[in-house]
Amino acid sequence: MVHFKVEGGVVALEKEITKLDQFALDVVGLVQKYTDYVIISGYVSIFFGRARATEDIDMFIKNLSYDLFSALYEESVTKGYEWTVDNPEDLYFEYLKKCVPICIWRKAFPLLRIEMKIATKPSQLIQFQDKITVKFKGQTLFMANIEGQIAYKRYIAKSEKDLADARHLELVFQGINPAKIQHYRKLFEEEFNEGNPHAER
Amino acid sequence: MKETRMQNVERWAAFVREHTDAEWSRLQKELIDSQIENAQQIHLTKEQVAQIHGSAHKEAQ
Repeated sequence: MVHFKVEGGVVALEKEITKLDQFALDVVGLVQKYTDYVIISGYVSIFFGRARATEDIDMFIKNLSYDLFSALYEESVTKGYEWTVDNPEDLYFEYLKKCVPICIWRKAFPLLRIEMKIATKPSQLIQFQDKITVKFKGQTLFMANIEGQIAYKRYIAKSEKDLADARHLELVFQGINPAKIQHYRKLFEEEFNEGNPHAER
Repeated sequence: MKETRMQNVERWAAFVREHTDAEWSRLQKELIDSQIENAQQIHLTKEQVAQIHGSAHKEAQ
């Protein structure tokens, strides 16, 4: 019986690379030259086998200067990508710095995109400290830890799709720590429900 | 959630657990790649995609 297992913060597997995976790898290859990232949400479940597609891959990025973002923007445009708006200053100051996510996609295929925002809240910043390194077919991706994803999807997001994503992760991962799920649940609930009922992740 | 849908999720998760990465991921790749290929045939503009999503500013997660 095959289970995924996080050992020393690393998960290694030998899965086929889908077009979705390749898109993630291509964009991450650009982003990580300029800042740290961690992939969150549905793509984490999909990557580990969930039988569904998605149009959005979500990620948090660490705060970066305008100069670095501008360089990222210029390189990405040169390589055939488009962004939410065609102006790096607006993207940076009117979106990212105001905690509004921005999207990047391959020119002529805006239906498949990566949505990124700067992590600012404790529950977002902790994703960088507690991330997992995913190694497959000679590639590497950084993803949010599995217990945190289960907690968010099961107790905060709670849509039918989210509950299914959480259940899938719980079933395919070996060594899931229930106490850690509850730790994350408390963190998310304090941040989203009690301290600031209108907060958005 | 409907019981049948969650049962399907659990059935597929069992398949993933019980098969090699090469086996489950080959099937998953067929599913995901075909959906992306179909979507690529539609040639939507970014304005149309924004309209579909209701807002281009959707909050992450």
